Amino acid sequence: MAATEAPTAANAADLDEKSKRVRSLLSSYYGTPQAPGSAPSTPTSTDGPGTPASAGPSPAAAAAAAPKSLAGAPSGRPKAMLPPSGLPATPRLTNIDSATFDAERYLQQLLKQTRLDALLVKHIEMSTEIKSLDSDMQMLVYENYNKFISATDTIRSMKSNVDGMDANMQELNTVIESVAGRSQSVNNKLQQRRDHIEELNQVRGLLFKLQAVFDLPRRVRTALEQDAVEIAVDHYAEAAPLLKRYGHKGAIRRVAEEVDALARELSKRLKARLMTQRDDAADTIKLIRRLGEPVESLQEDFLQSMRARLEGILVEAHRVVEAVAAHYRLSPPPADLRIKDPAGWGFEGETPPGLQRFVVELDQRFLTELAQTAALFEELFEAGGRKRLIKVVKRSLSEAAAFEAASTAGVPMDAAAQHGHHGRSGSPSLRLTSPALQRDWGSASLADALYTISNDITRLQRLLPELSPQDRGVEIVEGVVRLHIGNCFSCLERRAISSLADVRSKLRESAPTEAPGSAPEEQPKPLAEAFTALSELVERGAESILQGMRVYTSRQWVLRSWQDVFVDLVQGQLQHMFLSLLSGFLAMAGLQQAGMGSPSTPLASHSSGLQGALKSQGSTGEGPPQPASPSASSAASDRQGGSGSSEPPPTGLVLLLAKLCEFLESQGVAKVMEVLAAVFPGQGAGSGGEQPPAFVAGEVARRLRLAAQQLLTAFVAAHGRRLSLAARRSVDSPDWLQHKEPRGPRPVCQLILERLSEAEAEAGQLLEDSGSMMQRPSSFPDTLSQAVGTSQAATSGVQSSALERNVARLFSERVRFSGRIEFTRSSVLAGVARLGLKSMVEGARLQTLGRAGLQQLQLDVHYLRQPLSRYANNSEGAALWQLLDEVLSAAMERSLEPVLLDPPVVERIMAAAPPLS
Amino acid sequence: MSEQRSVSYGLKLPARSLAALTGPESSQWAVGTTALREENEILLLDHDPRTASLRPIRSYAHPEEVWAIVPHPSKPTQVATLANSGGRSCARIFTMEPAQSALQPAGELGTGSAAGAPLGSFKALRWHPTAADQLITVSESRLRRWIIRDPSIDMASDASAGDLHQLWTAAWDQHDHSRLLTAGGSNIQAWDLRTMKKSSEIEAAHQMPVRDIDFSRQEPHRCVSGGDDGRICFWDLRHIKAGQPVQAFLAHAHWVWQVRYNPFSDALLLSCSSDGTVGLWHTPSLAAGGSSTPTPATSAATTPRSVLGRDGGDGKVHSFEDHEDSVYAGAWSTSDPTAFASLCYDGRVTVYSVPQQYRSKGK
Repeated sequence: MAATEAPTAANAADLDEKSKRVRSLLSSYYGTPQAPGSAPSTPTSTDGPGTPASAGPSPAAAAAAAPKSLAGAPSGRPKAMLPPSGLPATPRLTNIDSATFDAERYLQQLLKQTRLDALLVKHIEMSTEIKSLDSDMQMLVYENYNKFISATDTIRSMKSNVDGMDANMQELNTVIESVAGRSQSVNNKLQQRRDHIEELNQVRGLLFKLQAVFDLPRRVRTALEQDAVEIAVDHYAEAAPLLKRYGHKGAIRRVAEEVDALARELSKRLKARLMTQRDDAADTIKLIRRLGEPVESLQEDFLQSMRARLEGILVEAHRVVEAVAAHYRLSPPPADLRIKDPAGWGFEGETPPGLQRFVVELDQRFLTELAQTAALFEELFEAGGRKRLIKVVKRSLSEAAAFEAASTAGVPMDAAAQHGHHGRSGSPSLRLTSPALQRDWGSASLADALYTISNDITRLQRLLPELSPQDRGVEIVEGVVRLHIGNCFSCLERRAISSLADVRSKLRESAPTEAPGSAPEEQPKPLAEAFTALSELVERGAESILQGMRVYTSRQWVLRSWQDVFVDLVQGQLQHMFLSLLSGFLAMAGLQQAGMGSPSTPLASHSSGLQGALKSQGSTGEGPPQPASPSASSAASDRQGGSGSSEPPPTGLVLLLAKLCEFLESQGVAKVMEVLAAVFPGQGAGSGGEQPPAFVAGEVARRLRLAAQQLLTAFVAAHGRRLSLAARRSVDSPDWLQHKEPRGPRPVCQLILERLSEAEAEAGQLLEDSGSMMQRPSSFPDTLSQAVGTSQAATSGVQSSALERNVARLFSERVRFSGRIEFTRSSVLAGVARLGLKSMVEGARLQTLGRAGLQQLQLDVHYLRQPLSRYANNSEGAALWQLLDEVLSAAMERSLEPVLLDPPVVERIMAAAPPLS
Repeated sequence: MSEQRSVSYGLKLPARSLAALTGPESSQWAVGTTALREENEILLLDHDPRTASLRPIRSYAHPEEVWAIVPHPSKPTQVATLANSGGRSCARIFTMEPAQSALQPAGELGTGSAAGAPLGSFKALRWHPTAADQLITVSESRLRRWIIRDPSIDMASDASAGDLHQLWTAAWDQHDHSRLLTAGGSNIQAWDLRTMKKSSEIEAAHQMPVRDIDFSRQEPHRCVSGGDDGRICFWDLRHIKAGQPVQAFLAHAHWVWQVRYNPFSDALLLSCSSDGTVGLWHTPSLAAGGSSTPTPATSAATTPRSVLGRDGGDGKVHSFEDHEDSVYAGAWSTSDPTAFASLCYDGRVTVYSVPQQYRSKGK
């Protein structure tokens, strides 16, 4: 066993040594330094123990092994041969082709595992394999020897070549370096340019953009010119951020300003469009919003436009109202009478629409517009601006309400006034047509119209509950009714005043032409006619207005909540009318203007204060509304002009006014009270309990009475002044000391009588005689004889005349001047005569007379005595006679030679005297 | 009415002239009778408010009927009178000596250097407010200025208001002594006495002739006028161009013969009229300068109620109606601010006192 083992070990050692030798051979050949020296020695020492048989093939085996390991040659074959022996633990060590082949362990393994015969087979197999391997190797060497040589040569020459290249490479390196440096510097130089170009390029891009900005105004403008608003807005919206950011500097500023201006124009245009084209309003609003307007102002504008449209409707309606007024010839036709859609407003040809039709149309237009706009607003702005909407709607609604109130109340009033107008212009005489007054002053049609209005207003409830349209409706109704009442009364008042103005001008005209001496019977009686007409006008007018109010009281809904207020209102207006008529009368009579100590002034200031209060209250609805009467103010200015021109009012007018006041006091007020009680049974007056009734009949009557008295006094004073002038002329002018013997009464006495008959002519038209004038002849002789007796006593006792005069006065009633003048012809005329005669007394007392002068005056007095009694009743006539006596006694006192003519002489002279013409 | 204490004294003859005498402690008035054919006299009456008596102190015989008595403003015993004797008018100055019963003549106008020239009938005479030796007269259409140079009285200047104007009365401005107002016809003329020229004229101040003008003692430029139209008008002479009175009242039913400011208070006036009544006026707001614009709206004119006394407002507060005939003259006492006398043509002099509520306080 050991023997076999040894040779295998020896074989293995041999193989190993062989391969080492081959390797050293190769390396020595190639001159590689890799362990060339040591390798040859070792195989020799280890070779000794080996068998000589095995020495032979060992180099071959080694050689065969060597190339395999060197080239990594195909080792699969031997390996594949090993698996039968199966050495899974150390496959590599036992693989003969592996580099880590452990021959020792291979051999031991082989010895352990293999049977002897197999071992011998193996041995033989191996020896043959070794031999073949040796021969193969030798063959390979021989075959490839040349190649080795040439390879070695090539390598040698390559080595020398490479050595020579080193320097060149060095050179090349430096050259390349310098090239790199140059290239670097060139590059640097070019970099600046490149940057510059880059910059320029950027600038160019910017400029392109700016170009667009600068073009913006043009583009926007072009778009505007073509009315392409949307495009314009697009342009603007694009540029807006840029402009906003840079708009404050440099050239952009100009652009920005321009664009801003354009934007403003744009938005103006858009807003205009908003006003005109409602259908596009939503789009327009959006566009405007894109223009950057804040929502609030947009809302504002929107509402503004809405208001403008609503106002437009109202203006249109106003034109219609004017047209209606013009149709009834109440006012001159307006210059720009352009109603867009006459048929739509219910015009039929030239005929204006009825009130009802008009109101329906107006409501429909206005409320539809309002509702639509409100809806649109909701849609556009959602909840944001509701408050504002409500505010505006409220405002325009109240405007509309006011307008409707004014127009609806105005139309029937106009219609009523129109009758008066016709009455004036139609008949040349002053007879005012009363048929107009039979109407109900338009209350019925007004009530219908009101019904429509309040219903229509209520329709708004759903859309705008904040407005509480129901209340509004009630307000409108109330306002209209107030206004209507006020208008009715002021219209009546106006008619009265204006017909009085007519009377005045007529009197002024006729004054110069009137022949001073013409018989009063032949004259027309303008005063009487005017009085009849006016008294009828005022009385029946007031009555018919009150009757007209029945329409309201009969319709419950009209007065739903303010019945009592209404009654008070009507009464207040009634009172107001009476009082302002009163102040109008006084102003006409010139009493107010002169501001004489008269009740007129406080009255007037009261009523004007009342009017002022009414003006301020009119809108709040607290008090009766101010009657819209522009002609009243013009009438007032007319009054001012009439009485301010220092021309006193015609006395006839004063008397007419006095009589009117007296009539109103005695009959008008009572009548009105009756009607009031009939129209408002058990309401108003006194119903409040604590509050005084609005129409205080007693107070009105008191004032009327005062005014009547005052006017009458003024009438008497005016005539008294004229008479005084005549009387003064009769006693002042002549030189009484050198007077000639009297041959009859002087002509100036006739003048006195003429003056008196003028007053009588006026008074006779209006004042009652009280029937006692007829008794004159029978009642006067008594006083006549008494008077004659007085003068006889005066004649007889010259020295005691003063005493006698005083005694006589004790028995005669004192002549009072401040006494009340009655509304009778005799009382008035006596008042006038009293003033004149008193002036004569005063004039005589200032003179100094001779005998002839005294006798002249005696004749004059005697002449006057009889005619004067025509003018007065018993007591007043006596007073006049007493005054005549005073004239005579004054003349006697002032006479140097108080010798009177005997009564028969007087009679004779009078009979012989030429009649005074 | 019960407190309206009045006391009367009756003269036997008709009388037109009444004047308060300056100087004495008690209230005294001089009354001149106007009887053409009788012995005329000037009677001095003394009023004692404590005993409510009015009694004659002295009487002086006056040769002719007396149309006006004008006491000298600074010489208590001197008076000027306008008289009429058989159609001849004369203006004279007298001294009233207490011891004697006859007047001592102190001179007659027109007897001096200008004697012989027709002077017309004198209508009014006014003493210079301060200069003791100067006076003016008004006669027909002429305004004359006189200077007393003992023993004669010389005409200093003579001016005409125009032939159409019959001057009736005159009033000397109490503050501006170069200004004088005259009443001529229905107009009121203002004169500048330095030049003796008309400086301005209120046309148609009244609707009929103006009878009397009186200047306020308290306020310059303020005066009052009364006329035949029965009105009294309050004027502010600074605003006469407008021709409108500051305030006007229809005061009486017949001519207003005299209207007089209370010398102590502008707020009290009296007016005398031939309707036989005397009006007492209380005008506190006019006196305070209110109602300076003559607009009807602001004029606090009188209702009949206020005529008979309304506190606060301007107006006639009382009408004294116990005279039987025309009242031609009234005069406030110069010593008692609350007393005034009125003279009726029948010769009755009545002294009234101002009701308590209208007496001014503190004066």
